[in-house]
Amino acid sequence: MRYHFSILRRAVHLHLLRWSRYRTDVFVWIITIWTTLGIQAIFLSVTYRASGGNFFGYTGEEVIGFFGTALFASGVAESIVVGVIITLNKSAWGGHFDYWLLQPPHILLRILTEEMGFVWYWPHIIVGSGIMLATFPASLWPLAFTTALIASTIEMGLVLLFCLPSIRWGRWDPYQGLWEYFENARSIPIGRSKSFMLWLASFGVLQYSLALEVITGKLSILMLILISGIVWALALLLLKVLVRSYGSASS
Amino acid sequence: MTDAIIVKNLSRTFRHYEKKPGLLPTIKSVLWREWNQVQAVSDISFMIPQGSLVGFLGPNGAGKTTTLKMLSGILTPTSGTCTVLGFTPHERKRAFKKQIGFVMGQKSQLIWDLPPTDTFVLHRDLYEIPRAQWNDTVGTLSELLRVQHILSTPVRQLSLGERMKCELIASLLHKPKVLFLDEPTIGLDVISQVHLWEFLGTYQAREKMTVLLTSHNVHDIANLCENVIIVNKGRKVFDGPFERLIERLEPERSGIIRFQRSELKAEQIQQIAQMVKDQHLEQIDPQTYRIAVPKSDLSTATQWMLKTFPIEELRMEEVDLSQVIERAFKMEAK
Repeated sequence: MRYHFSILRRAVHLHLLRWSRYRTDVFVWIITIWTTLGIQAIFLSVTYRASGGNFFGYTGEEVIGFFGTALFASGVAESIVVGVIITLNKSAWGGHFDYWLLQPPHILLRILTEEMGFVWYWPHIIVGSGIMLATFPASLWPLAFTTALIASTIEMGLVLLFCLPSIRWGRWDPYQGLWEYFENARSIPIGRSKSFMLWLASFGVLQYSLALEVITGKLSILMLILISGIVWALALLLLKVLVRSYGSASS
Repeated sequence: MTDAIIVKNLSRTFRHYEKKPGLLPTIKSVLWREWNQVQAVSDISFMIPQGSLVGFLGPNGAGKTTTLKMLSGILTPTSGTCTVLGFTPHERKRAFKKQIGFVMGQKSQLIWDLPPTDTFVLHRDLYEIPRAQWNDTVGTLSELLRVQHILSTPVRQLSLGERMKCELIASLLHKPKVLFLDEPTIGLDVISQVHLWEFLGTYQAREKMTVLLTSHNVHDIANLCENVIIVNKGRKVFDGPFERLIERLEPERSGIIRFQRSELKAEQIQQIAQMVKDQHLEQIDPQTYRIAVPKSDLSTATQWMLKTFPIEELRMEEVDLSQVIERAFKMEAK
């Protein structure tokens, strides 16, 4: 465990080094993120008013709480797996994957080490946490955050499930392909065509709707844990198959 | 001496599909594909003793990289077995990974947008290298490879030679017992190549590391490696000392003889003409000839020539290694 923490600590350190070296990129990205958050808030406000404070049977606070939960959990998930999304495809093409297989840590940890997303997604986590604290009663905070974290693990597992095959079997063109489409849809929810709708319809709805169900007492948290366990079991199985059959012999 | 690498009947087959150009074949290929099998490595066996430096040669597409990838654990063999330091490589045990290093000439493990030192620091954590040992190793290796001045420059701003030296440092930080080098000098200028090979020779002798290296530069392989393994079309065609390869493919030694023409007697001129007729000599100009004799007869033949004829100059030629390798690459597996 100490070994894993030391690797993750080094990953964060390297990330900060990159951050300090390429400040302009980081500032541009942060402005983009805050802008997208603002646009999402407007979207939410319009949805809330249009539904008259009653959205599919949920109260206005619960709808806003859902948004906060989705934002927080998505920020956590993306902070961890964004490296997977960004890195896996280019690593398979660029040859880094070969080197990572040779290095001592588990391949998943090594992939995560390469690119931590926290630098990019901390606004999601902060704003999401703020919304959750503001909308859910204090008695629900522990449950709400626990549920959001479990939901975020489902998102991580789903992203892995979607991205891993692209390396081994798909090898999508890094400049145009399904993989990039997913990446765009997930990373910048709005601003690129109608990807926010895709986000809500595809990934977001499942785990964050379930999280809201748990927070509002309509579903057992065990169900959420079970789904997370199944998704991760599948993702790890896929990773094992992928690494086992990884077959590039190009020099 | 125990063997660091044991390979038995190792094979690896790849399959890829073929698609004709055009929209219709593209749509068709989604549903129905024509698969082709490529035998990259076929039934290769060899052993490499601990602490030796072995050259792994073969033309492009011979299966060198595939073999190195199987030995390092990146690829799983289709059939056969290989053990490296007693481990099965493709199981990729952590203890195994800590004892091997791999440098691929066409791939990089350095973090592109940060200085090499940051990759070295990352490797210190990945391989759990004690800080004192890490400091010592980075200092020694960067001095030996003459790269101290570029350790703080982002990798993307380094020249190919500088980058390759840093790649080598990154692979040696954890002091591997076995090092695989896949064309580490590809694209490097002559001076950088010399630096790299000099370093490798010195370091390997000092650390008693087992090294298996591929290179297209035959002279470097000849200078560095006592033993070579040659593969062609996925099969092993030679395994043994470089000298034996030369004996086998270039059994004759040739030299240039310049006679003192004015001193030659009629009978000697006749003798020379007969030797030309018998193809022991090849005339280059009126007084210069090329002689070719089996290596075993070299001493007797030169002594006899010097005793029998008035000779102005006798000069033996170096074996043309490129030609030897060219012939070796054409060898078929038995």
